Amino acid sequence: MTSNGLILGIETSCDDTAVGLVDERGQVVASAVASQVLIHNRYGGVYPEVASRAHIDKIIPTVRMVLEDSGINPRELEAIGVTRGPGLIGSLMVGLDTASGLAAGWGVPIVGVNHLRGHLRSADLEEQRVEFPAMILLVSGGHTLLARMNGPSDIKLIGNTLDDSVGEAYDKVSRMLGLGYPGGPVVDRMAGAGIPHIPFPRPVINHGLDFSFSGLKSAVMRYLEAEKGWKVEDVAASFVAACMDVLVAKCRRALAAYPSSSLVIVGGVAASPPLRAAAAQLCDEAGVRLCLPPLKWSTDNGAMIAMAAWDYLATDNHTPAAPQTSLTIESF
Amino acid sequence: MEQFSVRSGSPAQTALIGAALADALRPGDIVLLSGDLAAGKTTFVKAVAEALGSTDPVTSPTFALAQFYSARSRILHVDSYRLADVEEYRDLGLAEYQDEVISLIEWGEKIAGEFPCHLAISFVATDETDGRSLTFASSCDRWTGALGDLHAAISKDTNGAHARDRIVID
Repeated sequence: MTSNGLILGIETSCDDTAVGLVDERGQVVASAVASQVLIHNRYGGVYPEVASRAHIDKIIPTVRMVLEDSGINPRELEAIGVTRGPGLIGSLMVGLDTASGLAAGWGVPIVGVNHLRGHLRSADLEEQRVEFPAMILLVSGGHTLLARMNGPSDIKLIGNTLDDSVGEAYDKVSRMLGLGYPGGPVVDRMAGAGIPHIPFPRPVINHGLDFSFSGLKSAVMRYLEAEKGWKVEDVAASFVAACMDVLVAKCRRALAAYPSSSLVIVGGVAASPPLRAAAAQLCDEAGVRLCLPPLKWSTDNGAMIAMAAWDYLATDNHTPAAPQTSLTIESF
Repeated sequence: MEQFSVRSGSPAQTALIGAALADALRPGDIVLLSGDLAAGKTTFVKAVAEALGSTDPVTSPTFALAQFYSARSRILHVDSYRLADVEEYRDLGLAEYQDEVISLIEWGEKIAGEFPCHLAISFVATDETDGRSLTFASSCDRWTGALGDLHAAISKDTNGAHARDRIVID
């Protein structure tokens, strides 16, 4: 097929090496994520191996896989979009250097993309779901934030975590309970079989749009140390109830402060069944459309970077493919 | 090996200890923080960064692995929780920055072998709610003498400012 009208997206900011090919309407022509090898970690459970070396090993085979899958001529690409931050300098450089080399060799434009904008735009991959103005909840291992989107490129940060992300709280509580890694699915599953009778705190639930999960994590730790005969299921259910109360309260407050047509939930924690149920109920009450993109686009991928790169092109934004280890969601 | 321990009865007191440490830190220093989940390592880093004049948000770097904060002396905040070994740490490519910044490394004991000269701070929960015992230790020349001064500064700062909640110097 022709590669006119396609952007190649490259993502190496954290654990995954990912490449995607996306057209202007958000259709995903090809996408590949080389997940890092799972290794056993004696400090608790199994953790993804994290190393920029692994990106170096995987980036070219991953690009090649996407090009071969799609059968395109890369010299006809509209552009290459590559994550420039936020992330680890070593990991970012693998993607940026590779993308720059490919762009020069193929003679195609290149644009540096903010990873967080990729997450927001993942909601419109394959199908236009977001109705603007939209309220976005990004919940993952690395992030927990609320953003207001008036259009694809018009983004305002309105709430952020002050300490831990909700995904991190899940993972660490999972470890405290001896449930392993990743913590999200197993903690939710245990919670489904438990009674949420333990009154864990709901940090900063009563004011503002910022989040805090560190105190909740500490409260679970203290409870496990102080109490005897607790049931894993009940601790999980009580912890999840606290998380959901906070997430829903913040979304409700955000929707009241910024009337929105849709509430969009992206990031790995968007897979959480209790979160999906609680959000559906909130949107029913508020008369807002709930957008839950397919889970495969919730975690880091190259397609979302290509999707965001289209916005950069549309607004004539030529952000260079230079690393920027710390970026907010409002940055380009 | 020189070492001393202090007890803190609250996160606010721990923050005062962090501020006293901040005064003693200079670029190139490596501080390894150890302690169980929810021991207060990130809260401590937050206090050190604030005392160094940083206004950047200090959040847990567990997923990001490393974050830089601008401050009077630039800070590198690392979390080794997800790292398997020193090899993975080396692959992050942070060594080239470490002479110019103050490095505060959570779960630092996992990669202590990488830093012949470091200050180790371990956090242990005490029986009191929110109580912590902090042990400062180093066997490096950089901290010989400096550790005694730090001990004195912590006793002075914390007892002076919060006479009611005295920190017990073991």
